[in-house]
Amino acid sequence: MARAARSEVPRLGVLWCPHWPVVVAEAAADEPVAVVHANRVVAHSRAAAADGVALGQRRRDAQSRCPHVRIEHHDPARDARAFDDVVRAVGAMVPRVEVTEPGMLTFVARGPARYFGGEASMTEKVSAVAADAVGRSLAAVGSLGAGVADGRFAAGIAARRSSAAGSSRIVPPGVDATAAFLHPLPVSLLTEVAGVPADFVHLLHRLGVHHLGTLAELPSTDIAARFGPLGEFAHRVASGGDDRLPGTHDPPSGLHAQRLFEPPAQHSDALVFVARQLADELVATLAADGRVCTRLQVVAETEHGERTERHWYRSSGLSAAAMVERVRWQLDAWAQHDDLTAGVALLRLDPVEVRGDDGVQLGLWGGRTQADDWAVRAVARLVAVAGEQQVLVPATQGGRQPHDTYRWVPAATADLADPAERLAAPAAPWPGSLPTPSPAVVHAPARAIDVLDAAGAPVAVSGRGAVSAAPVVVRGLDDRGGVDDVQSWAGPWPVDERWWDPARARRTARFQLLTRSGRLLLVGVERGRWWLTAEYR
Amino acid sequence: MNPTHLSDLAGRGLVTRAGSATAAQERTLPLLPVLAALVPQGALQRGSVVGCEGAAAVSLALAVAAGPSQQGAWVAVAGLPTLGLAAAAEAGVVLERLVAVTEPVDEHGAVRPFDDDVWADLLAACIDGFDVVVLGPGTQHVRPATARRLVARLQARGAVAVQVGAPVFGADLRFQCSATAWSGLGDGHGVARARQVQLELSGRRVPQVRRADCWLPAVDGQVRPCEPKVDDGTVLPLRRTG
Repeated sequence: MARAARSEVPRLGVLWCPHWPVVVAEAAADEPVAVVHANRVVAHSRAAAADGVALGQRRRDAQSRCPHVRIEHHDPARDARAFDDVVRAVGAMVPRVEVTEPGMLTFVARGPARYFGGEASMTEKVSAVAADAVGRSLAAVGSLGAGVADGRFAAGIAARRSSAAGSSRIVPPGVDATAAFLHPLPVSLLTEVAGVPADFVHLLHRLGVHHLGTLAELPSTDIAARFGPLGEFAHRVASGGDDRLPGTHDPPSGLHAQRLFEPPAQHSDALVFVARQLADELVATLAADGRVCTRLQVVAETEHGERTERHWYRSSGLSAAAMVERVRWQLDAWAQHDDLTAGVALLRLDPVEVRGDDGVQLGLWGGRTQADDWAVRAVARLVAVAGEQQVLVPATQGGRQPHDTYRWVPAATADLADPAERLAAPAAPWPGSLPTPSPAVVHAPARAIDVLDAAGAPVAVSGRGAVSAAPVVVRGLDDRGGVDDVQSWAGPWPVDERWWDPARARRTARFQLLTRSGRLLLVGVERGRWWLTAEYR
Repeated sequence: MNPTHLSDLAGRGLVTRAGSATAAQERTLPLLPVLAALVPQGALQRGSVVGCEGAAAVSLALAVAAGPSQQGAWVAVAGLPTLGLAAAAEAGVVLERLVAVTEPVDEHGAVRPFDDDVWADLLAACIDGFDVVVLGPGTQHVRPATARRLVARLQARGAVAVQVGAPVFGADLRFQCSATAWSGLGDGHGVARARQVQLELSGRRVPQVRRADCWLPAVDGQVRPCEPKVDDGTVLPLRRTG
């Protein structure tokens, strides 16, 4: 299982740009900008942070703290395309560059350090090249950080520190040196850098463990006994040990998913569609062995031999949806930078590193499922094509009219993964609402119609709810003025809403009309005008 | 890469693809019991298009979508801005997993329809991301070629389309509701309680038109059989086995 090299923690370099989405949004140096995803802030500029905007905040909280903040929507594809310039520039200097997320990349430090005459001069060169490649102003977020250390965790922290300090940070090799570097740092970095669940870090805080050093000083057996594998992992990382998750190893050889295109595919859409099939296949094969891919190589080749190859890393494992997203990023960036002369003939997904699946990323009992994952991504895509106001999800509202009980809200502002708030059960019953079943078609705004009696005069309803005559004909049901006879009817059911507020008060009397053609209509009369509000279709 | 090698690999890719489909169960989506009793195999085949026509088309589409929705599927509703959410919830569609795509409306209330390309993109994204896609009247203006491409994508991806109104996208299963009768409504009194409809199912895998009477919606907004099948006490004769 474990290869020989596992005993030794790899020496890694990390290049990190803080709040990359803000850089891509081209924020000016002192402009407050916040990038939101699913109603939560995922990145912000320094000016916004100064006003109290923080990661994870709700959009409206951010806006209330900093009213003039520019809100941008999170578009990982755009961020990835922009970051590809940096990946290319760095990839030309050092081998084995892998992208963790747009804004952060990792490379193996040992070889290049020797070539460039030491780790210090290597990081200087890499960050200079990267800064040139960014091609945008970084003033709004700070500066690029570059760090070298043993393992991903320490290197990631070194890069973050370096960004804050403004010069590259090199942690000397060895477990002791790494532990000494980590000693004074807060445990919250476990969540930020190593992807440890936030609950666990909260628990550590409540237990009085605020620094990585304190955690490292605890006996590892006790930690393992109390917190299980997660605690053991956190402890090992905090004490400067190997930060690869337990059970990480090279995948069995020959395990990859690929597709050859005959004839070559011209549209990235078609490729992404195939990528989805490949990703599903690959994830299913790995899952059958209880494994998950943490590092994926995506290769695409055109008929004329043009080639793109990228490594993607995700510590919690790449789901099929995450794989497809990365394929899309890579292909978009490729098509944008290289003038491809032919269609794509080959697409391959190659798992480079897999580990035992501890089942953390997809909930089995009421948590997020694969279907949720796909749907959330599909919604992002729909919003990109149709616009924010055209993609809607339901939310509870409460009311007496059929269009009042629920309303549509833009999906972009709702948290799809956590619908509890949006779809809370109504706090109180609504006396006066019609009994079930509810109409399947609701006209909002309502359509103006005429309801006439046998003599052809409009039916009127008095203030006390007396109907002048039985409705016989209804007119104006469609744009051509559709006429229908009333077969049976019921009502009026008066509603007197918001009588305390003269500006918003409404007095409506509702009727159900069943027409001769079999349509059941819900109509209302308000100030002598008849409206078609809904239809039972 | 020589051609034999290419075709060899491609062939193997296809084989694994078919193999990964595994159990037939994974190729279907569940239906509510009333509808399951009507359709062949008692479930929706993934990749199929279900047409809903007639006076109760919208209620019927909701009832079809409710089965998968209750089992964790996400439902996208495209081009049906007038959908009544209360009715959807009563029919059994889980609102947490419902997303709608609608065409924009200008300040005078007139709909500005999406053109063919936009619909093609949107529906492709729906098919990729959702298990059930309800196609409302707004989607009926797509060109036949676009519709064919989308259906091909639907089959490859394994989603199910539920179509309200004319079968522009073709239909593997066609539900037609006829002979509707509302009960509970009098001449100036009462309130509509339930609607009795006759469902007719025809389609590619249905050699003979099947019919069923049901309440759509019933008093609680769900779909229910008209005469609940009572256990008439018949005992299956013993068979020789082994």
